[in-house]
Amino acid sequence: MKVIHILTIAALLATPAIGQAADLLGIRAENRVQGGEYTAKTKGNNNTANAASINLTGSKAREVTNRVNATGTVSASAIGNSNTVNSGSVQMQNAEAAQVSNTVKVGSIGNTVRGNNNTSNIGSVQMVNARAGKVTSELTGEALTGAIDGNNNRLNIGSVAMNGAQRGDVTTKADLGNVSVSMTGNNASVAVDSVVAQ
Amino acid sequence: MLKKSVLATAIVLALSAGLAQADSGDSTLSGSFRHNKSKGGSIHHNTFASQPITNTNTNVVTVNTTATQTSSPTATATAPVTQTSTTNSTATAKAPATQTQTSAAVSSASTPTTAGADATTTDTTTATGSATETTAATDTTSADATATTQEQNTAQTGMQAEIRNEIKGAGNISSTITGGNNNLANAASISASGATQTADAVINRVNTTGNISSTIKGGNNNQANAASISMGGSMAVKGRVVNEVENTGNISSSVEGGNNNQANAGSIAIN
Repeated sequence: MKVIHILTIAALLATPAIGQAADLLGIRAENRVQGGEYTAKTKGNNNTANAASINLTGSKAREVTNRVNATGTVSASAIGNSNTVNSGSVQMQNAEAAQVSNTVKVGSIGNTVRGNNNTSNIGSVQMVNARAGKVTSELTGEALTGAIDGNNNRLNIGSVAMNGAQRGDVTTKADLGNVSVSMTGNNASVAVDSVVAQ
Repeated sequence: MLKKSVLATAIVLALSAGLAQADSGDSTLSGSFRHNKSKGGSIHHNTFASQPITNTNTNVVTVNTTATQTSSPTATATAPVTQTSTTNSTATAKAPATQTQTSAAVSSASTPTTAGADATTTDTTTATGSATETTAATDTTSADATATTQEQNTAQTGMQAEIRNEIKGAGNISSTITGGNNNLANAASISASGATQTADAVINRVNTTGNISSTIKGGNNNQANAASISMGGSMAVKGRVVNEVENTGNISSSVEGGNNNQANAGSIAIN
């Protein structure tokens, strides 16, 4: 009888461990950034510049958390074609995540892109052929600058942009001071403090 | 008696496994998607009126800071050191050196002109020989580096490894690569790739008042990481990927020219 009790207790004690191991499957990516200025720049083609951002391509994640609290400037720039430029953003391509959270508080933030087929995200969440259970995006800043010069360009500011994405609840919030956006070229698309689902 | 105990234990384990499976189904990725049923959910879109923030910002807003530029010369000073220690060009030069010596012996017997040419080649090989002697000190450091990576690999096969990079109270940190292809420049960063790589967690913590910069000048397939985590090649991580950057100066990452480039500053990139 004692043996039964011992084995029963052992089995019950082992149960949470088994459950937790299953719970750990999937990446939990946390990016916490404070202070200073953050700059990412590229020149050439097929470029990606990430400043205080999370970029997921072809990956599975359980939680994706990007928290930025920078007193200075967060900026990213690219010169060339087929560029992707992210500042204080989460970008997912062919990726999955149960939760996506992007909280950005900055003094100023801005992207500059010159070329064609460009995507520029500022304090935004962009999902392309991606799935997410819950998406939250919050952007607070004093000054914001977005400039794109070229064709087939897309600019997202304080927004959640989804293309061929499956998602659960989507929450966005933007509290910005001066916003300056300039775009030249054809087939331009701009989203400011918006939710765009295509 | 023993049969009863074994039977009871089997029943309890079966029930427990069922409960664990149910829990994991609710909390894991596939479970959450199952509940969402494609494009459901609500959209909460809060728009706030644009108004200036009263907090005065002490940091000067400049994109190309002088701090970043002044940090790059120290990087170029350190970059060649690491390149000479890691490249096997001096080591592989030993094999051609012995080959040219033997061929020189044969050719010098046949024609004196080629012997003269061979003499110059042997001179150059002796020059590279002296170069390898000077890099002998760096060879020992590279041996240490491989030793540490071997320790990591053995730990990773046991699924217990944690990749951790913690920097506190450092000055300026910079990494620069000039020219060439398939370049990777890391400063205060973690870069890992490969499907065989497995880690419990990947943690990069940077707490320094200095500037952090990573620069690649020219070339293709380049990546520059500053205070970032970069992972590729379907690397598996059981736990968290954490990039924590605090109290730093300027953080900059740039790729100047070339194709297929990526520059990360205070970021996580998982490809």
